[in-house]
Amino acid sequence: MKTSHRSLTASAVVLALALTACSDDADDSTATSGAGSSATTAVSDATEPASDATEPASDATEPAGESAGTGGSFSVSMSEPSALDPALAQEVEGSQVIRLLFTTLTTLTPELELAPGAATEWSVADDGVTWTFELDPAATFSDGTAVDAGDFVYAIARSADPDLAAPASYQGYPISGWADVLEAEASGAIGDVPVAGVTAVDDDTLQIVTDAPFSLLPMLLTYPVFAPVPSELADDPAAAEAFAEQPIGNGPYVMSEPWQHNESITVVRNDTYTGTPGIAEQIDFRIYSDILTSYRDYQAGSLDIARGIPPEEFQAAIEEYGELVMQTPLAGLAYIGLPVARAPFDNLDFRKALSLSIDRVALAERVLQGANDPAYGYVPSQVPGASQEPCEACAYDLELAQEHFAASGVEPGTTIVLYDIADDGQAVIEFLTNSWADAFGLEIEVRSFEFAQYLEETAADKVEGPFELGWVWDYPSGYSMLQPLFASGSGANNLSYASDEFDALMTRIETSTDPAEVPGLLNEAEQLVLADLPMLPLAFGREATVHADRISGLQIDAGALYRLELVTVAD
Amino acid sequence: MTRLWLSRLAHLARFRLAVVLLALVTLLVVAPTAMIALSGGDGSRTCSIRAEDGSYQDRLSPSADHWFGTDAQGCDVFSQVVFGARPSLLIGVGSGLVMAVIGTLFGVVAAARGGWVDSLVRRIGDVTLGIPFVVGAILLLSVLAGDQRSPIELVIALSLLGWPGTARIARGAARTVLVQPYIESARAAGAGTPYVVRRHVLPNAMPSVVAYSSLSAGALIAAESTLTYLGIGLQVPTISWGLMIEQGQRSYGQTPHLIIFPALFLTATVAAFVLLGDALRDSLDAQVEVTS
Repeated sequence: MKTSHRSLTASAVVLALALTACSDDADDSTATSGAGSSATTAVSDATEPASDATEPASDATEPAGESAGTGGSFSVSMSEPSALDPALAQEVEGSQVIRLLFTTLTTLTPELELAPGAATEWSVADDGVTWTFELDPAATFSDGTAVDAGDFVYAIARSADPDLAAPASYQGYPISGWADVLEAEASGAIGDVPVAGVTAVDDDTLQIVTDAPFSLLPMLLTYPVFAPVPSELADDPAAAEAFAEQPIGNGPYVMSEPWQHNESITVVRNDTYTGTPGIAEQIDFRIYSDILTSYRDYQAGSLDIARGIPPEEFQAAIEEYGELVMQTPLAGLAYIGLPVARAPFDNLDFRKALSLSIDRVALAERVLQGANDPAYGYVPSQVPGASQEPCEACAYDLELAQEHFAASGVEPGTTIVLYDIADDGQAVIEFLTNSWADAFGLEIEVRSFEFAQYLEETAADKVEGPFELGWVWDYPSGYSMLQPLFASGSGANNLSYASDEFDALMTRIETSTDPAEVPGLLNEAEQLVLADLPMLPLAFGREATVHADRISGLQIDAGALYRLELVTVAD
Repeated sequence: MTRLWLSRLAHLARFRLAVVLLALVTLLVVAPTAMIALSGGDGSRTCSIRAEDGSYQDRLSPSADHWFGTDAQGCDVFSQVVFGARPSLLIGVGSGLVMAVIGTLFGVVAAARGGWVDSLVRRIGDVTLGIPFVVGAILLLSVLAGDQRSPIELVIALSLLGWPGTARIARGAARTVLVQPYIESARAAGAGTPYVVRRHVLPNAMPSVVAYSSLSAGALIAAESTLTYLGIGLQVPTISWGLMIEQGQRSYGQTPHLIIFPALFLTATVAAFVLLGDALRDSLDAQVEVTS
């Protein structure tokens, strides 16, 4: 369970790459990610949903309701997605489409507050583990069949099935019986083994039981892996095959033609949708292999929304297009991990010295060319509970760095290994090399690997020195930033970091019944890790977007998900 | 023997172009060393993204302070370009030399022994030359070096791929010598093959090999830059023209000086070696004719 991406890439938009690159690993961080502002609400809703959960996500849907009204079509750039099947969702590209085609039980507003989706309301029993979801009886799939609880039971069994080998299948572990299905022998048929914890009470009532109290479940269920899939697929191999190319969903848009690989994906508004409908009549996803080409098409006027601006063109774009350029802070952290079990990185003074010698402002503003914010902690500061003060050792203070270096007893001239992800630009690696060599006279040996091999080389038992990686949360909570990275035994914790105190705090958050205490606990956990400094935060990414004049109402959440259903097109 | 070489050098000196080129090559070798001596430090990097007053100094255009401007990390492009000559020259000259040694050895042995040895060496050479250069280099570098690629690994890889060219030249030259009547006389006088090779074949084959090696040094420098540009050659934190060009091309529109200066130096150096090789060959060929 890893959300490692190549997000340190200097040249490529840090996050854009981060998001697409994660295909190597399970996670669709992006898809579900959310922005900070509302994460608290989200968390609290999670445990006490009924109240505002019932009001549809309508406030989010009031875009520029000017003359244009509804209708029109527009184009938006993307890279070739790895899949359109929601169970196989794992990267942000496919998720842009999947989120339009499918509505999960719970959804997130652009502000990342939890909102009803396929479920109109939900509640958790006093035991803290039994969740009940009431489905909208009128909801249908785009082929006209009703969406009932059985479709969710099937979809979840399908996502957990080892035959499907869904990349983000780790997401379901809190659900009872998920692990039994996922870790069993593959049977050859997909979705044939139900997940014990997921049952249809009746057609419109779904029950999900977790192994232990897990207050973040409604947040987790916004992940596309838990989207409904027509249960007819189970008996119809031809339909199942077609599903991969042109999925039948329950969302506000529907694919009008099969996926044109490496060319385009076209979706049109689903007029039978019972939730808040989309505004534009048609959305054309144009598939590009790089953001420079799509940006040139935008400049030529043949593309309405360019997702990503080449960093080298970024300043020029702001000058030329002004307000049409959008910069969205993302919950994606670019960091340097340190193998804290290995000398000299087991020395706290040495770790502090390394951190204090990094000029994070220069890194964000100049090396990464502005599409980033310097990171002084592990959780974006707009997230409730995130530390608001720069961490003590995250400032740029060469004198203090020298003091710590002297105190660490590490000799100048010591060679340290620095891991570099090949093919994604080396500006960050060069910057660190210069910083550390200048400050302490360290010899830096750079090792470059392709991303897949990079993840192997930087695994906890193998990594020998600082390594660059990125992390994007899976759902909008500081928990989703901290737990996977620092909990002992977590698959994404390749720092060899283990803290009983931290693990205890995570357990308290998972079992918390009082949403108000969660931000405080998260803050405590983050401060705890920042004091140990097993990882040097570098930057939080920003999504850079430029759109045509006739486009309004575009919102992008902190998980880099474009809310295209809210876009209004002027004629 | 010594006299022969001296006369050749004198002859070479008459080619003014060759002198200029030799001076240029020498300058490229000497300049970084001199700069290190002057700067006092190891001189490998003069980078700082901020100036003393805290303002940013990356991507500056050429100015009096920074003759060739600065790059994205605030490094002075002039010193980068000058230091970038070292790995390029090391690799160009180094693999040129290794190729000359291996090639001469195989070429002369093949020519002197003839028969199946000759066939074997030639076939191995043909097969090696048949491997597409970049593919062969990727293969060798990943086997030899993996994630750690220093100039040494590049020298080995380039030499392994390039020696058959030198071997052909050496073999051709050796065969020309071996059929001469004076070789027959020498043999008749009781000279063994080792003696003949040492006394007659090598001295006569060397000029062609030297000229060819100088020509190839230029090509090898270009090859190093190509491989580095493709991401399979040298790596950060080594400074190399190929790396600079690769990084510069990403922002060609905004900061053309980042690609123009290393590209100019690369072109000039490659041209210098190639022309030097030409000049050498002209001069040495003339000598060969005179002596033979």
